[in-house]
Amino acid sequence: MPEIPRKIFISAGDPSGDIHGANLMRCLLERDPHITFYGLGRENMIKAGLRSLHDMSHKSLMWLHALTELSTFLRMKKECIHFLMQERPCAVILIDYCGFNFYIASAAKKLGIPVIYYISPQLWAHGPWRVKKMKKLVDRLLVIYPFEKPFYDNAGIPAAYVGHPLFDEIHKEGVDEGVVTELKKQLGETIVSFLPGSRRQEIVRLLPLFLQSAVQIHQTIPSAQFLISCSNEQHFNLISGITKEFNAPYKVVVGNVHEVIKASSLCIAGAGTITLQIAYYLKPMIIAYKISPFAYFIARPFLTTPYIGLVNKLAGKMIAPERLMCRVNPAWLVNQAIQLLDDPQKRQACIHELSLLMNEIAKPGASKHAANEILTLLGSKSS
Amino acid sequence: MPLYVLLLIAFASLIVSAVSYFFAKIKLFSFTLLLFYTCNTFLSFSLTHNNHAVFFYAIVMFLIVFPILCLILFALDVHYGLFCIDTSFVLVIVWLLTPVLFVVNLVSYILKVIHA
Repeated sequence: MPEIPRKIFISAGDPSGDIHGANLMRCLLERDPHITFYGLGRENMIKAGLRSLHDMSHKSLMWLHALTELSTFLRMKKECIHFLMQERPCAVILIDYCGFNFYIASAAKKLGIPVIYYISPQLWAHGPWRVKKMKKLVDRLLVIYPFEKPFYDNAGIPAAYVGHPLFDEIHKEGVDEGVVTELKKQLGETIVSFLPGSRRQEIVRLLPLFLQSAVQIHQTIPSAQFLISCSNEQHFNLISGITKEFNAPYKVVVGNVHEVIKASSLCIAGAGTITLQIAYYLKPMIIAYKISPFAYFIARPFLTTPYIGLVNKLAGKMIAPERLMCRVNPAWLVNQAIQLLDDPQKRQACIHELSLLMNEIAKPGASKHAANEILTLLGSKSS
Repeated sequence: MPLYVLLLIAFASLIVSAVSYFFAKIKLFSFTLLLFYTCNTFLSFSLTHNNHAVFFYAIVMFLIVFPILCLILFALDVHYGLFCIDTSFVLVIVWLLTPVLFVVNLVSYILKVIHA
């Protein structure tokens, strides 16, 4: 029987969505080479074969920045809806980034095109009422955390747990042991690394706090040396500008996040996916997040989870010390860091809990599982 | 009712509504915010309507009707999932404008007392 060419519309807004989208596209193409992908993505998805309607590479997606590009987003939305009406793809796959993707889902739903949402926005953490919107717009949810499935099942949305695509990436990329050895040779055995995040706002908010604590940690443990992970070249100048004000022995490493984590004795990080990466390498960590008092006041009634750190949420208990701060409080951070560096029992307990968690969730194959779910859904829709 | 009593009730209701919002006590929050807007509407009317009618209507439109509309839209979105965007940003607008309304009335009252 001849294979039927299929068009799939796929949309990912941010850089991590682009990586996971590209992996998903490759897995789908392995299973069905007759699929043609159209939609929105960045360089990775374009390399994987996306016929891009709009290059998302330089689009800023955070609140006020997104507002400054409102006209571009409106044009993109119009073009996407026009494409859906003209080409009628057999499915729409949306990856995270619900701010824009919900509009695409809404248009697709009106046209009767099945909508699959891969990597659900974190509605369980802030905005559980938006599940109603999700239910109206989405035919199938492919979730990446085990606790998300019961959350969406309870809301009546068909969801499948496929695993976290981050572990596919880690397995694929591996660690450059040469870089790890070099870092240890340069800085010694007691390395504390700071991973403030990949967004400018996160770096501006967290890095001064981290560096203040670095000065105090170094006074207590003189052998401690510090690494600052810089996710890309664009943030290097920003980080250099902030570090000038502090007198601590640090080294800024651009990229090589896995190597930075692996070389470290302790990681101090923001609250997001980075905590999973640190957990994967079984490194003790401290999670700190800082927001303005006004932002905390606004968000407080909607915080439905007692934990800010993803690893703690996944474990269902505090396995890594965490604190959401409104004011800079380096004393807490210093105290926790010294305990995790100096107290072997506390250190071992943290590593043990992380290993239990990773045994449960750190399995590669998320993209393959997601591709299987999508093809199964498409098969059932076309039959 | 003397204006200073209205001002005191408005201030107290502002504080209680902020605290009840923070602790997600929705019924208490709704009641106290309604009380706050009612008191401030009367205050604005008494303080500005006769001599500065345009100013009064500007206050009503921008600092009372607009935030209440925002809250109604947010409540509808929470119940029915109407909008694609995350509408929680309207709470930022509401909590920026609410204290402004009280301060405007307080300043108008102080000016009235000084000029009396």
